[in-house]
Amino acid sequence: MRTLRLLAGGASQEAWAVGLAFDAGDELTLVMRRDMGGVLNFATLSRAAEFAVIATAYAGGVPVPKPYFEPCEIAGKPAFFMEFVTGEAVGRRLVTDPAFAEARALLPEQLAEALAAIHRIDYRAAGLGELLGGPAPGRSALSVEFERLYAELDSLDEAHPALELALRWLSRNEPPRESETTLVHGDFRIGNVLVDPQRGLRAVLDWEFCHYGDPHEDVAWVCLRAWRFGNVALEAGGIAPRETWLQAYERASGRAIDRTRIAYLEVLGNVKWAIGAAMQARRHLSGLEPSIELASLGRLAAEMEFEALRTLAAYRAMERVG
Amino acid sequence: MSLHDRPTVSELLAAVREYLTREVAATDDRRARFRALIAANVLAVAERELQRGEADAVAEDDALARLGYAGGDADARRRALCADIRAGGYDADARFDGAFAYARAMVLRKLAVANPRYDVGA
Repeated sequence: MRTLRLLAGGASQEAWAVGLAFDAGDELTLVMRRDMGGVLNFATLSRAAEFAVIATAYAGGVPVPKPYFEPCEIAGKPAFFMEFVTGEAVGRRLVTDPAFAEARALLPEQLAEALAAIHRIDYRAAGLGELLGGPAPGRSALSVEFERLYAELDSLDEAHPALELALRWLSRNEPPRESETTLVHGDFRIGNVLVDPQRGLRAVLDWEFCHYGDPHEDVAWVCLRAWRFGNVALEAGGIAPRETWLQAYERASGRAIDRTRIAYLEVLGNVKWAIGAAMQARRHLSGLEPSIELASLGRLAAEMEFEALRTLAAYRAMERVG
Repeated sequence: MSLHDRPTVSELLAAVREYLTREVAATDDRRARFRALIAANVLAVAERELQRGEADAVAEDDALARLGYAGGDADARRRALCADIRAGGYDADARFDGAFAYARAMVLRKLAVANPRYDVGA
């Protein structure tokens, strides 16, 4: 081992860049993801499960960092290794920096193809069925989601009338059961992908919310206002109009996307990220992971609350028109 | 006036915020700069909350009373509203619209403190 550099660290996990040199003279830089032991979130994957998902995605042709070795323990904590991929992940830069104009033109198609490839993975055949969470037989993906969100909302011990109202409306207006169940990335968006200025998409990251469920969930998540990074008018991740994105995904996947379902899931997505941001602030407040960034997310939640109400009102107006 | 001398609490917060943006953030270290700017933003939130706190509390009190939750601690009344929403007390369209209008106004009050530059449309 030649070099060791901390990329990101926290109470729950950390990432290291590990530079290796071999006798033959070859050099290789890997990323090591390692648990720190702080259990902070509902429904996130273990390192071993995350490795299995990334390895399956890699084999399925999804652009992900190449996994190395097997999951193991490093100094008593679960860890795994993967290729170090270079690229920009910072959302604001990807959406506004002129240096990424070429990449922005490529991204809608590239993201659609990557997401379609994720949704094509036969997760059961790959043995991921037991590792991942998903709806129990006979239950809809949404009913499971509501249960988890109410539990998280209660754990905040804080009054959120906007979120109560949105969750109540969502559960009373549940669309027909999803027609198919696929692997769902769970946090697929600008900010969680590595992008090269010329070549565009290099790798899809952050697989810890991966589960199985309705593929529409990932397609809608891309459209959340929070992931437009200020470029609000371009509804798909601040890089493309919504229809451009939906049609790119339809072409790449061969799957018809139900626009009403996307509008419904956008309301749900905003509720989810509002609660998620408030939960992240608790990581700071609990004293387990003191961080000014995490603390600030507690007040960011109001933006998603607003957006949940706005998208809910838009959906109701759309229904009234028919 | 407070029993404390100047700088006032608002002035203290502003002084730290300016120190963060002018001096601490003036570094080539991308992560350190990012965190300094977040810290400055958090102080700006605190300054706005100090400024608007009392007026917002009065507006909240009125809005909750109009919805039928009068008297006593505002947080307890908001929690009662939340419990009623979850129990189905606001499912009927007219009731839903009333609670929705309250929730929207409440979130706008929070946003005015958290991020006044957030575009909430017309």
